[in-house]
Amino acid sequence: MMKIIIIDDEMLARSLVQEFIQKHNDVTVVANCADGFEGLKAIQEHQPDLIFLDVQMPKITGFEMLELLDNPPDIIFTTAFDEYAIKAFEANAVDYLLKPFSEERFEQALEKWRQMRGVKHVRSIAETVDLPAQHDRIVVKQGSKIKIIPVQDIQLIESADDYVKVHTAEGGFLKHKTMSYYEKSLAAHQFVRVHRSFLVPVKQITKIDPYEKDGFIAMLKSGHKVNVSRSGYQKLREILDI
Amino acid sequence: MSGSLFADSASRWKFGIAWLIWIMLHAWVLSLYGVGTTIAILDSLISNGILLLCILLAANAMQYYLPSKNQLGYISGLTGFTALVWFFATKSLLLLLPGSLADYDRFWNKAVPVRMSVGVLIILSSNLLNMFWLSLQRMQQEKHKLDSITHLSRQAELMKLRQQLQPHFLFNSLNSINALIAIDQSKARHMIHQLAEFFRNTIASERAEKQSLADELKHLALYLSIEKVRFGDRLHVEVLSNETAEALKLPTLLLQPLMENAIKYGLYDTIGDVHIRLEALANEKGLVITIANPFDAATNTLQKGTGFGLSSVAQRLFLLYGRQGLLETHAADNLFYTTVTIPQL
Repeated sequence: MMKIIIIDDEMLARSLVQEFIQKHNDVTVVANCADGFEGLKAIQEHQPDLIFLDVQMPKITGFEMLELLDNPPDIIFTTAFDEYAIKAFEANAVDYLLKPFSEERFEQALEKWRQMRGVKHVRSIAETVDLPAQHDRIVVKQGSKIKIIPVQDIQLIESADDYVKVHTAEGGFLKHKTMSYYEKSLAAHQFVRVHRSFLVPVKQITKIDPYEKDGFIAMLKSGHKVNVSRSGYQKLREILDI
Repeated sequence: MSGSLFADSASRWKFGIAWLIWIMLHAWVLSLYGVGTTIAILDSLISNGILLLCILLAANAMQYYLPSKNQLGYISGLTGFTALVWFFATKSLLLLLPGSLADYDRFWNKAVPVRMSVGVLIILSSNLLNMFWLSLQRMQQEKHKLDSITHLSRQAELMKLRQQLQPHFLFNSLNSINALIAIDQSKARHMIHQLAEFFRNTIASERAEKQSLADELKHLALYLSIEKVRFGDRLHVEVLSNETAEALKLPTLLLQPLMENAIKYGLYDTIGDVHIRLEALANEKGLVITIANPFDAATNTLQKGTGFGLSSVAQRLFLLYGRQGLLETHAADNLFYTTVTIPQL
């Protein structure tokens, strides 16, 4: 028996999926969740084979929930917003059901999932959700707690092997993403990649001094000192118009 | 042409009468100098008749072509030319008069300077008058054009700012109906009717600029009843108003986007039940409506910035009332307050 979890903040939307799925006796719905937090807990508890996932939900979006999973199950998105379709496929989604959807369309999605199951994609979500969409917050996991960091609270993003470290007044948080991902998605908030290892919000910089040969060093409001490469310095000059 | 100074019938009459008086004056002056009555009248009629013709021709020419630069130079040239035409035409006609007026030749020569200067003066003043008239007309036309352009762009902006039908609202509602059909058919039917009434109301309201708060609240109640089907027990909305406030008018469909925002941020920012309160009252500032919704100050990024979707409502109020500050927001104790003031004119 394959396990399914439905995550949607609208009760009727969940019951529709439930109704359509009842006709298949090789699958069972193990949990119904009304938000991403519940969803996260249920996924860790039940290790489902497939989730039906809405995007716009309380507190964290469906995409943000996925980012917090190390080993996400197969996903079929269900949403009324068609603008997330590309992002959904980047997230390795099996299918994308646009509300309101018909039973035929639902069956098609489920059939697609059955065929794809054998050929399991091993790429993790962290690698694949790489669409440089606009971010105004970053969701991180700290132990069992989930933390939402508004972009304006970020002091510095630093590379840390396979992870990036997001520095805030409350400390640093690790996130399984690449520097170039945040470089693109935070560009609108005036984050500048001043160095291979440092991504800095421009308004955090208080001072830039020459450092060694060809290099510079930037002082941040938070007290951090970061290396600035020559190309990073050029980017800063363009943005600050100096 | 419509633009001429002489096109207006009232001014044409006045001008005609003035011209008749002028003809009589001319004849009278001539008779003072010993010219016979018949000749004096003939002289005056011919001379001033041609003068009138010349003035009208000059006015016509100006309507056809009036440069925007160096107008005075143009007027001077036109005046000089017209005066010459007038002078020679008058002279040749007058000297054609019957032979019994042999003595007239001599008299004509004596009066040339006076005739010429009076003629130039009249033509010049007529031309100047026409010039000012035409300039004024052009200015008014420009202003009119500018006014209508401003009006059009304002209308277009207002159209754009009005609450556009939300496709997501429709799609999600249809999805709910889809689910209800299997669970509770009569509820599904009820929701179809509510949805239809909501959209019918929306379309009808789009035609009117303003409606009473009572009507606006009715529309809002319909919207809320649909949202309640979608979000079930989570959503609680309390509406407080009184008869005085409900009789006042406000721009149509102004509250719905505000409520939509409140619901959206209330629902997506918190877990569990969401209480939203709308309070309307009439005071000396006009109709004041406050909507309070819960939000999480620690994590919310949207309400801190300008991208709260309220800016279009604020801009609409600014365009309608020409004043800033009719939409204000503030946050306290994890509640977000949106206040709109509708001046009552």
